[in-house]
Amino acid sequence: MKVSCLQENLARGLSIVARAVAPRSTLPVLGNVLLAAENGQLRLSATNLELGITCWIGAKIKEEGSTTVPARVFVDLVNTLPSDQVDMDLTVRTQTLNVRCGAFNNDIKCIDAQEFPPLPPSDLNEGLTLNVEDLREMIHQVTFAASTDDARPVLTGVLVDVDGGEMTLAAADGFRLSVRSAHLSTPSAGPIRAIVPARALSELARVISDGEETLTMSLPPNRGQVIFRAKNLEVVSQLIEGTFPDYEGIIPTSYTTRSVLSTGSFLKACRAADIFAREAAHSARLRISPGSELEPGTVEVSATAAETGSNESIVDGTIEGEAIEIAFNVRFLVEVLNVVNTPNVALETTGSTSPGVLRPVGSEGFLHVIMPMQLGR
Amino acid sequence: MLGHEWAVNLLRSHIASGSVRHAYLFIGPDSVGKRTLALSFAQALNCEAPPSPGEYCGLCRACVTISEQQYPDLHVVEVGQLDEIVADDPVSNGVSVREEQTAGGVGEMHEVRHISSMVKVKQIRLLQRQLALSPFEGRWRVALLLRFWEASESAANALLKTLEEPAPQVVMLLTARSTESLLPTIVSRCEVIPLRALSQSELETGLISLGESAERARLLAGLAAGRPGFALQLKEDPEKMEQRKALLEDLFSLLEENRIERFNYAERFKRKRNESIQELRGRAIKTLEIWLSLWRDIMINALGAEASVQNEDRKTDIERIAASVHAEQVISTVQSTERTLSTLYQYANVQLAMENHLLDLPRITQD
Repeated sequence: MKVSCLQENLARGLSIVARAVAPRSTLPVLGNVLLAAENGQLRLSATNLELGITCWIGAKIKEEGSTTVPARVFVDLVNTLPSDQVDMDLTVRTQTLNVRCGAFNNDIKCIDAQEFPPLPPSDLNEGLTLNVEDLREMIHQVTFAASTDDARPVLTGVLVDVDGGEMTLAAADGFRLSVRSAHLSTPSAGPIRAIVPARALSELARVISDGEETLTMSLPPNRGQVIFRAKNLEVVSQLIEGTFPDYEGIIPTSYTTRSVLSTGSFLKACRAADIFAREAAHSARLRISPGSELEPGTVEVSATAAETGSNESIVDGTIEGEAIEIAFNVRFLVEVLNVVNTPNVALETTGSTSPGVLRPVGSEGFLHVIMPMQLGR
Repeated sequence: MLGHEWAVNLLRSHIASGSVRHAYLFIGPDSVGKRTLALSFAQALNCEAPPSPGEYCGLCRACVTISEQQYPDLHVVEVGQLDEIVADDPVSNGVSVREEQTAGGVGEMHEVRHISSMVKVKQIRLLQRQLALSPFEGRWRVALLLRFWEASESAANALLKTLEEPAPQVVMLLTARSTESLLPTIVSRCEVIPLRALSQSELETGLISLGESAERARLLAGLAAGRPGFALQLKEDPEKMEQRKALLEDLFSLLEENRIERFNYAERFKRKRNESIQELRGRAIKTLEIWLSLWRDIMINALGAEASVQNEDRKTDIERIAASVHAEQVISTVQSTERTLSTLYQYANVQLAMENHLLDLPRITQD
């Protein structure tokens, strides 16, 4: 393999794929990055057998070939090289990669590319076309609600459900549920229902570059994988086996109190309460009082901790229905309010022991269900 | 695979008829072939070009990487891996320095690598995450949990849920010395495959088929006492035979020595540089096992029993000792050796245990 490329391209590509490197795996080759010079481009790949990231960068290929370089060494080295052309030359017999850039000359010991786990072949034109911006927003609104407890593997994933022209992402951890759906510009050929690890989606949202407008999502049959493919980037994730719980049944269909609040003020009040609620299992109390003709309705957010002290903040809003007191995990409220991107948010409640529902006002498609906590006192 | 034909046939028929169980538990003494059988089974499950259903070719990428334990869909869990996997965890920091009081009373600083003596919950959690995913390249995701009696109780309990209903493409393989060494809740969730020690003739034939001379095969089979893994180790590693020879010579000379020399020997038995406590303990256990096998032969000889001798090459020494030590003393030595072994298994201080044992040895005075 003989290939030349620019240092900045190489460094950028490596910073993307390095997120999938598994440095301490029992398979030493997973601590390496695959370099493959082929079809006039340099391909960089890394995988931890759960998530695989591939990135193509522009390069001058003098001789095709491939090898795998230890990620830590290579990333550190490339980041110290000057912003110049990098020439790489592989000696196949010894699997030594010579990296030359300006006055720097380095030899790195590599592992044969044959040992690298095979990555699925993919086609840019196959699969479902998705808008990058929309997908990124959907991922942000859902992944945080996924569980981190590996004892219930299904809940560590995000349900991806595509039916006709509608795509829905859902995640739950037993205390809360986030559901986001969107219309697709191009309807899918068939229904899709798969559980993708939340980690993989978060990584996808992070690595996908701003320049890209669309990407394709495909699930090759019988592979147990989902492939997200953009022009110069590919993210492959193993799917989680199992059946996602039927979440639709736990979404409340009615409410007795509906509070419309300014998202920003509500978020600030919750953040303040969380400072005090930290010591009290994050439990904060909401006292919701409907207004009169002259006064607006109010939601009083309060938290008390024996050691820290107590806090109350009042948020004005439009309240319909009965007065109610209810307690929530305020950290969960902060997390969901962070991803609501409308000026106003509606909180729908039915008594202090039933789940609450948060919806952005004026934007369809997103809803968040959150279980109440013991009111106490 | 040497021996265990019925187990091989059973597993083969499970694959061929498509009735692979979700969990198997291989039970048997050390070096009898539990891990080898489990790995062969994993190869048969994932072989890319099986010659016939339930067989494996041994040549394809899957077969080769499984035997090297480098296959992406094979997850091996055993004691000691944890330290590397969670090395960046500040609580269980991989390397720690601690002061070691040596027998001479001089405080020395040793760098001690903490290798845990148990399978931890963290390893099980990691495994559960991996098993939840669909297989990477094979047909099955195989979890291989070795020497599972070494798992902590909480780790074993953490596994129960996964063991009861793993994802459809998952096969769990466990190995252990006995069912009693595991929680009953673990055993009841697995199909138990008990492996017995091979007969002397079975092992002998097997070794001859691997290219050993009849005489050596007989010696190795005798020494291995029906454990093919042990026989193969002796066969492949001439150093092992040398070690055995040296340890037997040690025993012969110790029998003639007085207490002071015996104490000196136990003293020399302390930890070498770069040797972990576990390794030292392993060395002590190995020594006593070799001695025990010799004492067994002496006992058989002294009592005039018919059973075959394990240490075929040491017949003259056996006869010599059997003639000069009283039979009852031989029996009590066998018992004392077994007792010392069991205290070592229970983490007794190695040097103390050795001193105590050496004092119990009979003394042969040269005439």
